[in-house]
Amino acid sequence: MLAIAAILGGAGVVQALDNPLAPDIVRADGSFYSSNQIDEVWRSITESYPAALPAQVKFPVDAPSFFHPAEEGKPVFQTGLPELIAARYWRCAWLDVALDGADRGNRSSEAAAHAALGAYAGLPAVRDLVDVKTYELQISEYAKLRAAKVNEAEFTLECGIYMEAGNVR
Amino acid sequence: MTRETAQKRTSRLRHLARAAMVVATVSAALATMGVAPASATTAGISGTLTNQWDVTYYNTARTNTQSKNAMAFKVTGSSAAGGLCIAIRPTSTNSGTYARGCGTSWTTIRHDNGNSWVGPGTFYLSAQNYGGACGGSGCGAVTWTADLQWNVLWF
Repeated sequence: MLAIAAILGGAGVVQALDNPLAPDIVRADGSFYSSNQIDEVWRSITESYPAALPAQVKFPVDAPSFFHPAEEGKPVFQTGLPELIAARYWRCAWLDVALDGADRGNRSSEAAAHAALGAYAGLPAVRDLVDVKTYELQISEYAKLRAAKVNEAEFTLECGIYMEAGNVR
Repeated sequence: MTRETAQKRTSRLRHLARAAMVVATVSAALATMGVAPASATTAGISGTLTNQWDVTYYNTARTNTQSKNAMAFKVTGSSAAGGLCIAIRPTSTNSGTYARGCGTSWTTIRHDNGNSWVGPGTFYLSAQNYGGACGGSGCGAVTWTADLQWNVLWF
């Protein structure tokens, strides 16, 4: 999707007229979704997500509050950001299963969650934009310094977007 | 630890923090090679402004790992005379952007609660024109560049 946007950069305006999911704004520094289209873009990204969420967890229907800042000015969001936030939501959902499994002493649940999390690095936009190894190293160092478990540390630091949807086990 | 020893330790830590900022560019180079920098990080950032209303969110994730992180930016090239507002949008909270700075030369990115540090976690940047340099109908496409500093130990 990002490669396509780059190739069609010059034709970005025409694309937007034909396709409501094409970024409304195409500039020298990238392509961006407007706040008018962001909820629809979110839905298109999440409705057939390539990796399953845990049972009974769904993506929010509208883009999370991350995409609806209560501030002055007109927010525009670079392509890739909705996918990154969806991947973050997905990762937090499985971290929640792992943590819940650990809390309940349910090892198979915990192991299933860890296995599922292996798919994170290949998720849309994550595979193009995120250095997952470096990120996991940073979180691991952070957790070690605080004598905290890595999954707990990451969940506390990073999962506000997931928690706001009210899914926490 | 005696009070005297604690004060000496604090003084040494301040020296270390300054040294960390000096080697920040080395950290950035290491990061490019796939090695995680353990502390302060500086990187060049850039973007385009087309009017004074757009708040542009970029898709690069960065992570602060100190308990208290100092952040700042310095505009290094811009044809917008008024400078930039840089804000950060974390994933750790649903309360929106929560720290920002507006200016040209080294500008602290300050938490909205008044603290001059931000907590740990991953964040995304937003940029907005500052100073109304773009008049009512816009200013064409202004390219800006800046140095961003994050993950600096604050105490």
